[in-house]
Amino acid sequence: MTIPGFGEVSESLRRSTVQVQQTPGRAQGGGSGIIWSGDGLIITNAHVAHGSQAKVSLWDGSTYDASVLNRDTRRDLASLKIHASGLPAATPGNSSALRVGELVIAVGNPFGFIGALTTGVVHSLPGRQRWVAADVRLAPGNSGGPLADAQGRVIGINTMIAGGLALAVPSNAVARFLKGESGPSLGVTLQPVPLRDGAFGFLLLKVDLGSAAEAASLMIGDLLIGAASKPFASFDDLHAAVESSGETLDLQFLRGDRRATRSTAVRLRARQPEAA
Amino acid sequence: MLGIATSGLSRIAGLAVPIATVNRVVEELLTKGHISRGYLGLGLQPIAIPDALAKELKLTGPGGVITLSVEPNGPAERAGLMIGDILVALNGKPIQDTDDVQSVLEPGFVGKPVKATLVRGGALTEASITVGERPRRAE
Repeated sequence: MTIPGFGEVSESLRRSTVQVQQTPGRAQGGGSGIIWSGDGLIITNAHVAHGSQAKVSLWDGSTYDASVLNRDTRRDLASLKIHASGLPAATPGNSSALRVGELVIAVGNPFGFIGALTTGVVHSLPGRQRWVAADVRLAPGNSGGPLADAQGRVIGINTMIAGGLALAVPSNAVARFLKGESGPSLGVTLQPVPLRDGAFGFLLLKVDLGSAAEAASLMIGDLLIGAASKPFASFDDLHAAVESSGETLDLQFLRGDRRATRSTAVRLRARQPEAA
Repeated sequence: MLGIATSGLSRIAGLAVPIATVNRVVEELLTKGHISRGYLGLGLQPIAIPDALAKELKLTGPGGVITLSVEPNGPAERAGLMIGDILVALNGKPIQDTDDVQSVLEPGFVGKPVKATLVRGGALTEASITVGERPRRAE
């Protein structure tokens, strides 16, 4: 196996990156996107594609009308479809396996520079991997474009700039978004309870039938105290752990006489649509 | 005399405090100078118990009250109760709602043990709670 050089990796990522513009569009503005599959599926930010239609320009200058398939404003993701085939699709990476310090590449179209590339490292994984923060130089126009690792595997969608850092939606969140899942769910009703010594727990008041929690044998009265061996310290921690996990989430909980901390691997499921 | 009429309990209906209550309160006021109220030291919320579990444990009702907080060193904590314990009976009387708990907080129970039937970790267990006296608010 030959290891592609950095220039090669960069070139391949640039060819998978597209320009996304609103239609009817202003001449300026717009953002970036990434070819997710060769048959014309494009991923970008929801704030880049706000309408039902958009214009997508490929690296070779060809332009297509795109229809917006799906948007999730909560995760700031949108999926677009163009009528094309054999496109140079990007390779998705596993954002859950990312480590701080890994070399990353961002490609986009800032200030009208097409396919501009910038590099940096993973700075942090805030909100229990709800975001990938990287110290790459982004500018307006980068939104919706790829953040990739040194092998060119897309590990995030560049979404915003905060405190000089680029914040990207992790690629695993994109995968869930594409499965039509509005987010993984435990299928439980919880009551946050403050515990002693500043710890924080979630008491299970209800476990939905057929839910991920039921399959993991969780029951009412169980007290969830941590995820992935990290104790909960605030109200947001469980939500963040669920959102940022892969297919399974290790939960620590107390049951019965509390003599031992128990652990269970929950296979997360899509949130069920709620009846209005 | 049947009772003492009051408009302080309801704006809509004229209510009277029954004579039995009046007698009990007066007697306690005369002997102790204040009304003692029972106290368990528990924060509780009604909860539905899943059918399968209720059947397995042969519970009489579909619900109970779950412990959300336990007062440090309070009567319930001294009896070993913990967050997540589901109270399903007190002295053998089924508990479906927090109102049902009030019945053992009547003054007569203060200082006496009550038998609490709990669902803990999916199994039935019992605890004996000595009902405390609610600390009086500082005037």
